[in-house]
Amino acid sequence: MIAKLGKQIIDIFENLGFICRLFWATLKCYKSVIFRSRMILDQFFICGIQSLPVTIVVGVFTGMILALQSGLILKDYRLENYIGVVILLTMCKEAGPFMTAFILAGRVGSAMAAELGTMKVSEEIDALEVMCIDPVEYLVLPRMIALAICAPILIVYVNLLGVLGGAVVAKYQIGLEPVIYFKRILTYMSTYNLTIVFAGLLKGIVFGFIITSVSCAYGLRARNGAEGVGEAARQSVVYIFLMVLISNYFMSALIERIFGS
Amino acid sequence: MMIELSDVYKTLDGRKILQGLNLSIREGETYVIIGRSGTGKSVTLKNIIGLMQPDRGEVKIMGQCISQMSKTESYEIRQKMGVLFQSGALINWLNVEDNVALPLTEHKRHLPKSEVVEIVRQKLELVELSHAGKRMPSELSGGMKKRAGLARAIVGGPKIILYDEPTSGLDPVMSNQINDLIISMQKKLGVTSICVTHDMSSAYRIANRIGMIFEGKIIEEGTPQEIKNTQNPIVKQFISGSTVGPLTQ
Repeated sequence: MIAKLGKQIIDIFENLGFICRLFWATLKCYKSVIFRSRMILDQFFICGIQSLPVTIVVGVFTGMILALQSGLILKDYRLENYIGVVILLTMCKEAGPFMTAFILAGRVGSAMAAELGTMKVSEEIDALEVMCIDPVEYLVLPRMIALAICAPILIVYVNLLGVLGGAVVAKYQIGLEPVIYFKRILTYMSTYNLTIVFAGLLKGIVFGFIITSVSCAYGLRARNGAEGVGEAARQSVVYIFLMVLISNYFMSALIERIFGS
Repeated sequence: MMIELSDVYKTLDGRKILQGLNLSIREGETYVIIGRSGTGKSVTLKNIIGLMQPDRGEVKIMGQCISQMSKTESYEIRQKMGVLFQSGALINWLNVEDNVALPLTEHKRHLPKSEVVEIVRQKLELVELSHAGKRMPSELSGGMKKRAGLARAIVGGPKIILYDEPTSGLDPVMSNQINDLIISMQKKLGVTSICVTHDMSSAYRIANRIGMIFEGKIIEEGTPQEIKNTQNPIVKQFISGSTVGPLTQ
């Protein structure tokens, strides 16, 4: 049992090491960004544009849930006018980046791991290497750049939808007029330092890097046919969730410390 | 010698795959490696391509030791090799023409597009696949995938072509078409070929020499006729496909 536990710990660190090495190897391919622009655009479409429908649902309902829960409490203290501000801050600082990362992990990360895993087991990655085409530059770089760009954009989109969803619940369930809801938001935005709000977008870039590095790392190491591909996709999603969760805490703490007061 | 493997050892997941393998292949010949599944045929091929490094021993390609080269140096050698993988290994989001053109568009970026198109057209014609240039890999039959893979393997003008089980999963007619292509590649392009297979009819047809791998070593080597007449009981059992003999003990 101890040996099994030890092996699992070694595996975790081995995977982490491979993910970090892959991330570094991808960064070193920065000179090829222009040459790979077509593939980056393709990936941008797959990762970003095709994720829009699901983000609409997630964004709107996240805002609605937040409005409902915070609205009921704020109403008790006659502070319901501030629901919009609460939702704006929660969405921009935490819920927006977090929910977007989860959408991308489930929709894009698992697909990337499965796609690269299939390429690995069907010898397409070997074929690339034989043709002297670096799989990191050809496959990972376009995905990483595309996701690092589209994740912050999707976060802004989710944030906006969350605020709009919140306005609907504020009107119909809390009884707050949209004019007051948005007026409070605009007043807050013109009065306070909003760097902390936009710092949430930085999280999007980091999450984009995490999702691509983890899913591509698992895909590139897939073995044993279809079973191995499924395993790679499953493990990559679990790993991404954990890494997003842990890194989110540390980034939030850092952002609060730097921009918080 | 075009390719030389001396005393090559390779262990994978604790399993000893190659155990002192020696192999020499002359320029322009077609050498077929036969052996049971899991005996190290594909591992030998990967060591020759440079996708795997031997634990011990030397792999020399055109006199240069590929097993001690840096990545950049091995890239230079690899550009003189073409590989036909078992499944064709076509990139699934590129059509046949783009797949064949891939080595050119990646490494010969100075070539005008018209020239790339012309080279691709010639190679597709050589493998009798001119009509399928615009098709996606998912729309191709097994044999067509292999022919497209072969066109891609020869597009850079290689000196060595490696075939990994080129006839596996194909019907006899398609297998013979692939065999004919392998022979015509050797004649038309003058390439040195290494083919890994356990299809004996294919081996007899295309090989100048055949070598059998058993327990990580070449245990018998010779012309197709010599292999047919071998007295080695292991080779005899393998080529006859008998279920009784040293291979199944």
